[in-house]
Amino acid sequence: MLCALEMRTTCALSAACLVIGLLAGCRRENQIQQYQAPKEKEPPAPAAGNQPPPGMSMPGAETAPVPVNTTPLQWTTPPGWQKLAPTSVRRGNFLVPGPDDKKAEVTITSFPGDVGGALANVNRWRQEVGLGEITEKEIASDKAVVDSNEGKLYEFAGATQRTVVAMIPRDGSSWFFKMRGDSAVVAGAKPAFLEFLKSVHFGANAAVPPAADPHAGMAAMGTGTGTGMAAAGSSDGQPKWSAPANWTESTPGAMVTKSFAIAGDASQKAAVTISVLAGEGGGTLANVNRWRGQLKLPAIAEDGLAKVTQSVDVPGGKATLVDFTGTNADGQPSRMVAASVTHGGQTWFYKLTGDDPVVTREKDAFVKFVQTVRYP
Amino acid sequence: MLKNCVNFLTSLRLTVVLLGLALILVFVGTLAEVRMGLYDAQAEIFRSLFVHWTPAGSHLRIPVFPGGWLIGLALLVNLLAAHIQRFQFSKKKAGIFLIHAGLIFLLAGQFMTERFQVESQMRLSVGATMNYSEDSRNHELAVIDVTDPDHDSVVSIAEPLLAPGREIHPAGLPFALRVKSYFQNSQPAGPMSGTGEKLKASQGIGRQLLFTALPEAKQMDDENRPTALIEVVAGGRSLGDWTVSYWLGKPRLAADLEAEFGGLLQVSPTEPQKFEVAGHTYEMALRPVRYYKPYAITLLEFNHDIYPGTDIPSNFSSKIHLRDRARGEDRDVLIRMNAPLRYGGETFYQASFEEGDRVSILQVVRNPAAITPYVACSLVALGLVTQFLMHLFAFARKRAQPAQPGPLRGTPPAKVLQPALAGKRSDA
Repeated sequence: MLCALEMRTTCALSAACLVIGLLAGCRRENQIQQYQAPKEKEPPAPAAGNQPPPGMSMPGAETAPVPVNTTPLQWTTPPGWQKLAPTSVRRGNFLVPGPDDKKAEVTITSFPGDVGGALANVNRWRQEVGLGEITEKEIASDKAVVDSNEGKLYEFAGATQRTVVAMIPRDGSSWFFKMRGDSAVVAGAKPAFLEFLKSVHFGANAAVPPAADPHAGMAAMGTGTGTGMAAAGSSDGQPKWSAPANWTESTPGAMVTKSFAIAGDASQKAAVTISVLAGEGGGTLANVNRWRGQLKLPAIAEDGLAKVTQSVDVPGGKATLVDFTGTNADGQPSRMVAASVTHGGQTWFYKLTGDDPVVTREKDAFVKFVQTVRYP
Repeated sequence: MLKNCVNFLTSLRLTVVLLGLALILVFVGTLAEVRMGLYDAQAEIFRSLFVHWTPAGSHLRIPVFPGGWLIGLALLVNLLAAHIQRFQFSKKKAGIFLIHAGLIFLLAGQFMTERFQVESQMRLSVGATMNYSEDSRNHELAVIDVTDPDHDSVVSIAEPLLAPGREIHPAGLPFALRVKSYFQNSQPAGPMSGTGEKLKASQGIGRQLLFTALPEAKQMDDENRPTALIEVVAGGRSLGDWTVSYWLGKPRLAADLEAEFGGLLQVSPTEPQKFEVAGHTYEMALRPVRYYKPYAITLLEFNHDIYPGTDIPSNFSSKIHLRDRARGEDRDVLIRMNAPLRYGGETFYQASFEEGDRVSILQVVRNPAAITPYVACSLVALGLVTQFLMHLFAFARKRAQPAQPGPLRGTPPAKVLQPALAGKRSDA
């Protein structure tokens, strides 16, 4: 016979189990729900100061809503310069203090292409210091070299404000190293600014310190690393390849195993992508027509394949190579050299796409690259 | 029989065995996370009643070890039962009771967290305002009636209901949804085909853009990108089938699709897929489960600070504007790493960002039991201090009393010790 204490224990435990069971069962899962939601709207225009107006035509502005170049960068900060927090587009941000509360700021920014060319930028910088616009012929500049990359150094002196700016084209982007502020401060800090330019190193040349920071992993999650490296091989189970030194590894998009960016003159550029599909990947005709479609070229029939393809020797077999010139999705002229290699039950696709001069220059290196890939 | 059960449930031996099993489970589970991935290991080993073993070549699931839930539940029951059985409140045991109450609170709180915690994310581009967050792991088929100019009427169908072959008749919708195919994880295949099953729709972007299945994503940094082929049947007549996919709703993935397939798709991947039934216009999308909030958050600024002269990040922060008309909130808040925003029962952490520093990703955690670990630890600490002080005061009292011949008051006669002590004295 149970004593009162054991009865109490049994009842209390039963109640506890019942509560636990009810709690375990009451979470909504696997249900159909109905609710009303406000209409989705496009993101509103950001508040003033946070972002420039859409479609801003002034190239090179520090706040232009364009992708930020994530090339690693290293420099030596001159003594006396105060480091400020970088913004979403400023890669470097410094305050140069002067006497009597006078000051100047030094910024480092990078934007794709030539951002409108020298004249548009020069006139914008002149406006900033209260000077009128000039013509292309009136532009005066000195040579500026940053990490072996040659560009132009401009200087504009207004009534009270002064700007010294170096515009450096590199890998299809334009880098701006700019010091602007009170005339006396800028004039006094110019030698330090020129020394600062000499200390800057880009990409693979930048000796990036080891990632000792606990948040370093997060950066990789968000930005990827365009280290400008010459890739030599890849991870296990994948082919081994060796890319030319001037190909910069870039963050691959969806379905792309590996991608490289290639810079040409001025804003010209090209990209190499590598992807893989199971089996024959749909066959040669489907792929050739897919590539032709990407350049807005008409599809061809099976009997037309021989005219547009050529066979190239690769280790253990043959690659099918095509070379098309057409128009890309943006309506710009574009050229594509593509190769497909079927190996081990998979088909690997290599594609060199971009501006014609760059593709022409890189075609031989690309074909050699495809021929030297070693499959597992 | 019942008496034996009660004795078993209240025994200290059971406590020790359960703690030992918990140790083994944590060790094995931690190792298994490497092979199975974090989420699978947690589901199979920690969030289950039993750990199962499936012999090669069979579908049997043979329980071989108690799972985390069973061990935790048994510990909780053991602790409760022992207390109920032996509960006799006295001042001397106050500290012990507080310690055990803290442990019970900790176990119950963890159980509540397991059941009711919801983790989601808010992806905000600079200038954008959102009043909902999206689940990090779970998806829904959303059928949205967009006819009303003022608001949308949403029917949300949980992902587990999207079993191939199932016909769903959501209340309030004048049509049925037939799940023709469903991939838990998928990748676009393009107009050309690879091998294996491919989803091709008769309506919408799925006519040009095919999808193939991928193995389930198991790693913590991976995500499943489900795709389904859904047929709409109204009045017994098929209106066609549409491909709905996670790929089509995510701006980053949609941009990748645009870049890869461009004009071949004929329509933008982010363009809503619409159809009309009975004069109403509906949209259909497979997307992360959404949690709407009675307030809105606008991302004013995202900062990605780096150590001087390097690209190594030192800090991430999002300056947001919080607007809640019902509660009169209209203020700016800076969310930094380790400095989250706590509002409306939810905590907003700075979790990640996207390339270009224009998009900030906030982790949104709703945990009704978030306070329990603090309460539990406070109870345990209070119990330990109480117990210590009680012993300290008792000791101090004993020391303060003048030495008296014979046994001290309150101490049992040292019958066993006396001969030994006497012996020692004689030895000396």
